[in-house]
Amino acid sequence: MDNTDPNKDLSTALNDDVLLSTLKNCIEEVFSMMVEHYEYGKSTQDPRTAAGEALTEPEDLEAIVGFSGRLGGSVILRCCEGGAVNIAQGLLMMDAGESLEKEEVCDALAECANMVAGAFKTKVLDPVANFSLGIPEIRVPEGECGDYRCGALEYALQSGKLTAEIWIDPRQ
Amino acid sequence: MKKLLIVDDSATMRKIIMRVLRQAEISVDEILEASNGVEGLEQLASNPEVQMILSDINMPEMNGIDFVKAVRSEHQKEALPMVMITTEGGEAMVDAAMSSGANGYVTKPFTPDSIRGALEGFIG
Repeated sequence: MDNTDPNKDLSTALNDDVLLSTLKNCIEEVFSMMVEHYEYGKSTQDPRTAAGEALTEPEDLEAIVGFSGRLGGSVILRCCEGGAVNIAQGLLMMDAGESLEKEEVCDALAECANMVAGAFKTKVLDPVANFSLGIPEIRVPEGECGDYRCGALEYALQSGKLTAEIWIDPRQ
Repeated sequence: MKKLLIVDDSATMRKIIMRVLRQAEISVDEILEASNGVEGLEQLASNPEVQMILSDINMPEMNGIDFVKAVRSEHQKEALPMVMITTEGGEAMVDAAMSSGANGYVTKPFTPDSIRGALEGFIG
């Protein structure tokens, strides 16, 4: 059953403030339940000075989950290798001393992004229109991930920084 | 012997579910894994004694909704308990899952209590 309002104005319902504040809620929901040990830093809405651009080391990771529907875009989590290990250890309820393979760390970051994107879709996209989520992908941070960045959130993890961003890409 | 099948494309999530099952004190003798609906059907064909399935929805190859439908029709497992564990908690997705034949629905992120609640009545 489609409970969405086809006449709802997307630019009002999904403006940058709404998208970014919803992303913050989703990050905190997922991290408080499944990751722990994180601290909110700051947000920025300047569309071209991504907090994630500070992450330029080859071992930095980016998890991206695309969404498509009346509006296309992506939910992105970026972090350094140590931060990704923190996320994996939290999700898997491991002790700090336990080691992980790189593949396990990447998969955990992807699943973390998947949970954040799923919550984001449920909270802000589904009430407006029909959207679908893509499968999470892991890659080296690429900077721009669409036509326009709504904003970015920055968090401190035990071993590094995490940034979360929403990008809009009408081509998706 | 209680045998359970977890279908999720994330190895991390399959591990999390296994750990949460232990935390929730849900007693299972053997847990089988599959990374999409196609593999899930293969596991079920090789292990027809599986007593319950926990499945993700958004997966490559075959998604969870099509997997439930296939289990119900092709494998004629109409009574086999199937609980969806997925990131999408919107009403439309829950309706789609339940109307396809799922018996329960848990949204990620989850707690041991939410897993226990969803599995209650299906497995001890």
